Amino acid sequence: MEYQVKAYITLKPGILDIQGETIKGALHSLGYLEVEKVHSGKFLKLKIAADNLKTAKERAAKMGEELLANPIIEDYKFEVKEGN
Amino acid sequence: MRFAVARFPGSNCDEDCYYVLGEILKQETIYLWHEEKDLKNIDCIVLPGGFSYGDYLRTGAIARFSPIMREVKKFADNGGLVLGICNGFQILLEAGLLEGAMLLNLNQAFICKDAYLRLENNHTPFTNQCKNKQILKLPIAHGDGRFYASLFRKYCRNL
Repeated sequence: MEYQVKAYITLKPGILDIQGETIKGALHSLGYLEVEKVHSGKFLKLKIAADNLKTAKERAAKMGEELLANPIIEDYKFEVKEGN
Repeated sequence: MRFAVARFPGSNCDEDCYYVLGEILKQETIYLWHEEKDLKNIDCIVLPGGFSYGDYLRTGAIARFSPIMREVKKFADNGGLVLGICNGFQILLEAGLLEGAMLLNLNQAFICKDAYLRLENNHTPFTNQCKNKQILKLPIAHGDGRFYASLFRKYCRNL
């Protein structure tokens, strides 16, 4: 079976997200003063083969721990669904 | 002493390190490609600066899985000397040989200048030729230079 994994990687709360802050500043200077917070991060989309959804989720979680995110500074969230 | 300079795809300060060790310090120095599984009886390995694997994902994140890093870890565990400069330091962090992680510079810029550091411990193999509290002028050049560690205070005390 083929599964699609969407990974969202962001900085942990409490770590200054300088990219997000800079983007927020740019939005303010364009007049979008309603913007209170911008979180920057990485988005990865993976196509993986697995026997079932449970395995696909487990494998994705392992990939996150081992390589895709650095647990010292980053949080990550996966969305796994069937198909591509 | 016998030194090695590790080369990863994207290392670009490897020749500088080789020159300093071999020509200035007059030490026997070899290059080791990142796929190397034998450290060839060296006393110290230097991981040079650069942009290993294009800094993709995070600085040093992919280089840490190079075959040579398994050997570097064993080497360090057995008391071997390991020096990571710039991207080399970032690789050591990602590999878990040092604690912490690097974040983007606060000013969003690549910083290239001299930095002044005060030496806090001259009882290490890397600093024992210096006086304690000596001010060292060191060149820096990095985009991800904001060191972060959750136990930063504890880490500093233990240095």
